[in-house]
Amino acid sequence: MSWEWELTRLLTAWLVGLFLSLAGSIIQLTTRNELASPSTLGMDGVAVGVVLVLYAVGAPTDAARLCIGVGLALLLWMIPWRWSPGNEAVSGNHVVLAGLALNLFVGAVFSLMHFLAMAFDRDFPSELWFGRMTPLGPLGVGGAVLWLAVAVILVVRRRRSWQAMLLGPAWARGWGVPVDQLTKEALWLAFTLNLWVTMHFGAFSFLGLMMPLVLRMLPRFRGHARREMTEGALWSGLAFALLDHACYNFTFHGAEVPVGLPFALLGTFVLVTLLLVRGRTASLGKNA
Amino acid sequence: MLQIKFKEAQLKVPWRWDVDWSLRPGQVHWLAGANGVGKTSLFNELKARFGARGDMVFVDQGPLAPYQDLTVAQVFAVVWEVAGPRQRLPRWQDLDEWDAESRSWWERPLSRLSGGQNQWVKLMMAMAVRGECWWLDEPFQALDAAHAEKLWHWIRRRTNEGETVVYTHHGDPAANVVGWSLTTRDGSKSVVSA
Repeated sequence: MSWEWELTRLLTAWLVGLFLSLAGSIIQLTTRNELASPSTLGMDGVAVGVVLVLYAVGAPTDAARLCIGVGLALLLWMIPWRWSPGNEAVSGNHVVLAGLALNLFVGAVFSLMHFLAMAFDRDFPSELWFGRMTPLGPLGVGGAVLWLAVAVILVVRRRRSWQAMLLGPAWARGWGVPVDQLTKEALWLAFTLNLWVTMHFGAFSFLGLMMPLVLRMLPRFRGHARREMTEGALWSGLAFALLDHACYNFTFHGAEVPVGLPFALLGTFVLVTLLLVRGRTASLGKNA
Repeated sequence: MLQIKFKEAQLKVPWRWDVDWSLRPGQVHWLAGANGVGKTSLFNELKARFGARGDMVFVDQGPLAPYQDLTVAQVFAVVWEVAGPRQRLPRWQDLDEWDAESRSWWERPLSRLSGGQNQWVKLMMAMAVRGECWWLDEPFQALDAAHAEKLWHWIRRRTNEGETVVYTHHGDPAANVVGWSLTTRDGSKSVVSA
């Protein structure tokens, strides 16, 4: 058995892991809920919907992914919406319920389309549900660099604010953190990162829930929001890329083991561990 | 001096009075009233209005921090990092000197603190920074006599230095140190000075 390095795939997988870890961290910080993720906020549903539309029009190209991604990101940035954590006109729980409803609906549409594709013998992107790395062409790499640059700018620019958010929005506001604007930027960034991941890999944002939880198990990242969002995201990305490469190299009866499989098992282990460790204090997912 | 004036109709919360309130430097205001009269509603309204002003510090009744597995030491590391020039209390050794008792639970996660310890950490977070006006919602809740006395000592020090402290409390305040009190009165249709 020989180990092959495929650099484009390694880069794509590294970005997938990095983006999901970062998206999870900023969502959990913003909503003050350790069980929040792009998935529970419905971002998965929207992203899968977008990809299904792309497939309905034709097999998506890098150019189509880039145009749709940038277009949606710009549109979402320009819409004057706001969510004020701390002054709960709309509470985190409302948003989570709406997000889960949306995810379920998109799941139903996905199943229906899958069923119709089978009935009429048409191709269907079923890998969207269990993940498949899309090889990046030059435009794909350009798009990835653009996404990464936006994420770095937003995270670095607000580094002190993110740290302050560890104490909750009320305290952060008291330190002069523009919490409403920060929340908007956070949700926008999480959505765009998750959209990129869904378009290039699949609906895997449960990793965005799990990765920050794993990082916070390590003393180095506990109480260090900024470190978790930078160094932690880089390590998460690397771990994901290496595991993906292992799956790429170790096939079973000629079939590549989906990387979601070991990660789902790892996620189960992490959540059960948290349940056992923190169950007594009942602090998991507690809203402040 | 801070003049707070707003009509009932301007409020987001169901508050039954118009508010006309003057806060002068060096004063302690006690916002008193029976349960349900709207003390915390008014507090929350003011927090929403003034919470982002750099010179006001609000301590509400909510849980201490979202991440309950953070230790007290980690919480204070964040406080000192983000407070920047507003930092008042210096680092560990001085804080320990001021409240040596709390030293024993510095490394304890927030979720393992008692109600009173939680409340004291929250108050110490406020005490660790500079401000001109302090808003404390039920600050004596769950505090033992020794820590309540420390809180009174701190309030005295703040007002002696020309700062203003406002607190809500349902019971009797320690009248000998309150320079000014304020009572919400149902029926008067306004928040008035007593």
